[in-house]
Amino acid sequence: MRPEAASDYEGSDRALWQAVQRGDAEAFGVIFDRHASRIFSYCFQSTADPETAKDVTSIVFLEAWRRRNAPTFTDDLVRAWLYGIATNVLRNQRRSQRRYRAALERMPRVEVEPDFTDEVDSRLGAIESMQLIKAALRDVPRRERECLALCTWQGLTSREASIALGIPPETVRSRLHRAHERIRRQMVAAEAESGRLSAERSK
Amino acid sequence: MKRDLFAPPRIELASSEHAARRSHLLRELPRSTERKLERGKAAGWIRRRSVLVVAVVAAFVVTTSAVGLSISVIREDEALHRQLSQRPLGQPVQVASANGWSLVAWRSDAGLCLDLVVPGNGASDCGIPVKGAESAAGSAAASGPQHEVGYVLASGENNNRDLAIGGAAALDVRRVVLTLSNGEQIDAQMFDAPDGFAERVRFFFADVAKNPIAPGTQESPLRSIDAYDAAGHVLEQLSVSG
Repeated sequence: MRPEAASDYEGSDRALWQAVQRGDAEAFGVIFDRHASRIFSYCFQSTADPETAKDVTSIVFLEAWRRRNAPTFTDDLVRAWLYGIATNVLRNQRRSQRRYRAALERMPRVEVEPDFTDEVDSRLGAIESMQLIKAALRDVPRRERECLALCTWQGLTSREASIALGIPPETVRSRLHRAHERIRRQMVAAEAESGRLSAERSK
Repeated sequence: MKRDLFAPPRIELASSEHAARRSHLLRELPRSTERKLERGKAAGWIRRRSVLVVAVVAAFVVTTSAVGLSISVIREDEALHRQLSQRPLGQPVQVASANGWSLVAWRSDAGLCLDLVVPGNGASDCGIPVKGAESAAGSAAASGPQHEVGYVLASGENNNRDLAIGGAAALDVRRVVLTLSNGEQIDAQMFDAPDGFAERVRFFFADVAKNPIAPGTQESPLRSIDAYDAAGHVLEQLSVSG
């Protein structure tokens, strides 16, 4: 029997997606509830800009709806597929934003509730940290950065990341391995440089 | 900062923002569907004519095509490396092929690229950090450590061999031994780079009858790669991290 309300959708993402493929918007709303937060987090970590990340998150779900009949999930891999859409949207951010400009313009402005100062500070701190991280990773090739963001930062398995990126799981592992190795080398070099500077200062 | 590179900060989507975005999304869905239907009607005649055009083109291709497997693999590979967004430096070359598998290499501004093509699957990667792969000079691939061996791996049905491992090796490497996750050791076949290939590397390939890892599991079927020189000395034992 077809579920009637969002609360009836307690099954797997796969079952929900079958309802989505029948055009069930409420089922799609439940998919949004389950995954929007993680997709937003991924988008924020990739852009270091919360406002852009919010719009990209909306685009990801609009795009997922548009392509809802494309995937046939043999397992609960909706999440990986959504990350794949997010990765493509982030790669082609300008084009995607142009495509969905009209839809984004219809997005009502959200009244921002007054924030406590601590929350504002922590949010600004997160933005600043993320900008520094993006700068520090600028020499890491994009394909390795994507594996790092999906597996290390977002906790996807190499199989999920392989679905998101459309590459074999082994390629995900080897790219991830290289990214980690590159970062460790960077850290060692940075530590050596900071040691050298403090030694010079103490002279 | 050091710790942040592996565990960057997260911020939450505020509940008010979540609710607003959700209701906006649900309002937009019918528009998206309507637009799709309108486009679908308008494009109906295009589709019908497209079928005719495709049939004519297909007939032309079938009757005129005398392209061998190796060339088609390279074409396939060209399509692949367009997707990978590296700027190719020179043409892809087929390093070796047999029994339906094929190992293709090319140089790019991101370093040495490899494609391992097996029936029903394939693996592709660029910036393989192997000593002697000089096309990576100045690219990000050059800034990382260079190894004696680098690899790509693909599972697929390959004449009843369901795992294929291919890679590049430094010129000094004369023997490559692959250790699978079940402890099985395999001597890879070694190949010299084809004439005119501008990287100073060699290549290796091995196929495995039975993938030691069940489909859908997370472990790597490959545990390590040992590279030996001509005298049998170990040049590197590359551990393949999961």
